[in-house]
Amino acid sequence: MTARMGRLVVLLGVLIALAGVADARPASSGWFAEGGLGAVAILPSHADDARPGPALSIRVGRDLFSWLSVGVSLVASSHEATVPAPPEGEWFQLYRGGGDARLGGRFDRLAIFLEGGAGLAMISSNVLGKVGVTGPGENFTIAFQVGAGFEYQLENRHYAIGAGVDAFVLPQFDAMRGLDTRLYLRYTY
Amino acid sequence: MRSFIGCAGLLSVVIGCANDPVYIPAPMNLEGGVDDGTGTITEARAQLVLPINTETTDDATKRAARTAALGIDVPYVKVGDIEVSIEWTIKNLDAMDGDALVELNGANELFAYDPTLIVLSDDEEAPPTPGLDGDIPLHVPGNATIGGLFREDQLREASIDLDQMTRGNVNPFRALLTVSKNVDFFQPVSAYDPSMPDVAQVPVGDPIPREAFRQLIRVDLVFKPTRHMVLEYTVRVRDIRGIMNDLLLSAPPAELQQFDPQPFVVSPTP
Repeated sequence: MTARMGRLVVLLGVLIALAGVADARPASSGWFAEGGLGAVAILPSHADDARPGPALSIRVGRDLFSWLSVGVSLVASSHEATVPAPPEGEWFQLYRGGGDARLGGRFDRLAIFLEGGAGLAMISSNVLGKVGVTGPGENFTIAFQVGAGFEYQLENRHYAIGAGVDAFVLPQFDAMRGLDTRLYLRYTY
Repeated sequence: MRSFIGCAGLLSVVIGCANDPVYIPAPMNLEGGVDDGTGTITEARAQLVLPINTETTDDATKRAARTAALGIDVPYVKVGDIEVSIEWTIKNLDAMDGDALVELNGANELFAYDPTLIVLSDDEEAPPTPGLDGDIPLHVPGNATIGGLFREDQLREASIDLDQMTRGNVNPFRALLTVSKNVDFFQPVSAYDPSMPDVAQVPVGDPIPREAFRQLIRVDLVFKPTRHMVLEYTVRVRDIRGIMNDLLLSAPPAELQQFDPQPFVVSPTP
């Protein structure tokens, strides 16, 4: 029994020695740009006032360390207002921009991250004024967001694709909250 | 790639910001269709003056120069400066089906249009002067809500029609029944005298060019239901020229251009 155990340990050691540690897929580091497509949904308590809408996002930043990057982003989303009629079938756009930081790590081809940031948001019209989201002459608010996501490093060291989810809050817009989901392509120089 | 992404983002923002509308909810709903105690079914009326900023000195100077060049009064608010539409809903508060009319009138900088003040004939059987738009019978089922819209092109047409009537002496029926929203000018004619309907109107003065067409700066609604109903409306404005006050109806009066349109009256000479 002891001899059998010994042989197993030796065999396991040999297998581990042969397998070694896989190198992470090569990936560029430094300045990067991301372009994403996705959707933004307004969360309660104003979920009934606007439908989820398509979103376009860009983010430019720099990897400071392998585990930290900073960047600036701009997100534009378009929504159908569903306030009590009239008006009916009207659309508005929500623009969010600001700075953020991203913490993460890479495991071979996959990377995961947590991110958070702050900035400004602008709404294109006062159509949500009817439900108290905006006040007279109010189009801007500060914005905060936190989120998470993952990336898949492609064969080309400059490119990665990823998915992210951010929750944001717009304090001056009656603390309206939303969820931003996106698929993106990242290019690192 | 960086420039492409930057341009795409900038383009989306620019496109998104172009001509963003503002919505002016009605200060109060129009309620009518109840017996006033004399057997008359009540109508409801409302006026909403668009919150337009006071004219800047620069704008006034340019306008004066243009007026001098054309020899024709160029208004502060011209057709094309703003695009206005009105969306409304009617809720029938009665369990019985009913009908309703929504009539659109309004005022430009100088004249207000109220068809009841325009009597084109002393013949009692003559048709009454119509409103600028609307007055289409609408069926509203009991306890139901319906919606409708005066489109931007209808308000543009109404603006030009009112200018044709008040500055061009065009017969209201003719002005309202011809499509003028795309015309480049209209020709003023001699005044119409309802007591002499057979006297032809002849062209007078220079044509009025489109750049001098007066825009409605006030919208008036007349609500005529046959049952107890409520009309709620919202005025939507696309501010092409950037003259609407950001605070809309909350703006301090000192920031708003004060217009004083006079009722446009036509009546047979006694």
